[in-house]
Amino acid sequence: MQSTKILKLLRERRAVSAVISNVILIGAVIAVGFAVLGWTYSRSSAYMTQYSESVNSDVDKLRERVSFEYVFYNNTAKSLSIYLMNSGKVGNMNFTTVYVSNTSWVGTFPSIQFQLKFLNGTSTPGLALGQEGNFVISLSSIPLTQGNVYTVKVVTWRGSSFENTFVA
Amino acid sequence: MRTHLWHKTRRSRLATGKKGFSSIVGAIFMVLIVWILASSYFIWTLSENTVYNVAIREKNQLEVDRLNERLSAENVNYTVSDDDVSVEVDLRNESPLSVHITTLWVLDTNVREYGFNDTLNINLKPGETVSLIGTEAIKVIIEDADNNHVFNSWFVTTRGNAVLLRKEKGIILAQVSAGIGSVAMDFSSFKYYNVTQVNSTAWKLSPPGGASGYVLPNNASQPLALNVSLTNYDPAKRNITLYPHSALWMILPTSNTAGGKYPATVNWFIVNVDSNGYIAQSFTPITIPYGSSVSVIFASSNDGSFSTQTLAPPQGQSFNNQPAAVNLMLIGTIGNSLYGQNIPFVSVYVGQQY
Repeated sequence: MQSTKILKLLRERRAVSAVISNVILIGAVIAVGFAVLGWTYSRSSAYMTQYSESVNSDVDKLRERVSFEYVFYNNTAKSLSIYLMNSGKVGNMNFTTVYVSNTSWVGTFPSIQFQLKFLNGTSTPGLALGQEGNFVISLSSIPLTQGNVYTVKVVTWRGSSFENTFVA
Repeated sequence: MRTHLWHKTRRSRLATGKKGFSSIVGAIFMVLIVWILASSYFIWTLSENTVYNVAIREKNQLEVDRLNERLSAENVNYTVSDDDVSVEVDLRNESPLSVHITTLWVLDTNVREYGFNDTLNINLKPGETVSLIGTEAIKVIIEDADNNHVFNSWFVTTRGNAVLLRKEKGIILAQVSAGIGSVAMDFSSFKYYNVTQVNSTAWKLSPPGGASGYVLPNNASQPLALNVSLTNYDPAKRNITLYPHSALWMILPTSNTAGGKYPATVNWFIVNVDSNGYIAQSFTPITIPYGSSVSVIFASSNDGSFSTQTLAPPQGQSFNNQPAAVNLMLIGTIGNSLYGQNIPFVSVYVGQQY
């Protein structure tokens, strides 16, 4: 009885095209739906990652802090020694640009013109938490006037800037 | 009745009808998915904002802590040996926070050379005091440094604060020449007192405040006491403790020309005197802290126990109208070391014809 019913269903040709078209349509909708879902997910994921990186970057920037220990201008060598300490709450601190200025002049020194070192003289790419370092900037082309007040500004790779004044 | 039948028929159709049902279920699922996605994204955004806010709070707290950090560095002393500058200093944490000191910077202003010691690891609890003197002094190497140079120095803390070292009032070399050692005397406060008996066991200084010690009365029967104000200027900043053998002694030429002039000596040993001018019968060692001045009274003919002393000349001699040399013999300890010093410091005149 059961097998007869199945055979009857298999031999039946009426409305088959409608079923097939419905199946195809449903399959296409599901496929497109998954494709859209996947694309949306990847886009939102990329956006979340970007946003997260942006927030983390801002947080690290907030935690960055530089303390100037000593700024010394050597009038004989026409060089400026800047001693500083990473007194913030984030490590891997490096400096991209240094500005030396007074009221009428600004000198810009990109990182290729100085080398960050520890106080013992060892070169380092960056300062970890609490570490002290220094770098020397040559000012032979634009010597400072002894006794005058100048400002030194350092900019970190995260974009924070820190200033200090000194007497040459 | 007709309306009732119509409602009944409609309910029956709704219950048995399947058309459009899947659309409703699909829509519900879609709304649920959208709602879950939106909620999770909203919560994630909130958590990111929380992270940022926490960072801002941390930064503010860091700034507050940095501003609240207060450290005093006093009694600074610089000693130079070759190119080694030893910095002695008393540190006190005056803030409610613990302070960690990492580096000491020293600048020799004469030669414009500087040095630093970044091996410090000094932790100070709130209110804690540390004396970095003697072997504890911090050493910094500065080329061409000299004892006569002027130094500026500052500590750097982990929070990034710089703490200036305040140099104490300089010791003028004349105050402590090699011949005088570690003690200076206030010449304006050299005085004498008459020692008067209050009862059988009590003796008192009079008049209150005393009189100038540069002219002494020629009275062989009047017990005298002499007051000297001493200041401890020991370069090593140690305390000086005076023992009962410390004495003030005078060399007095006699005035008897017939027998020839010859010097006589009179000693006054150190005594303790209370705030009312009463002399203690036994002696307790007197300590002069570094940098402090203490009035020391010499009044006894014995060391250790009080017995009056007068300016009595030898038999048949007189001290009248004669100048006399006064010396201080100090016996005791300086820091943990034994100490003894003889200081010839003033002259006095005995009699009225000054």
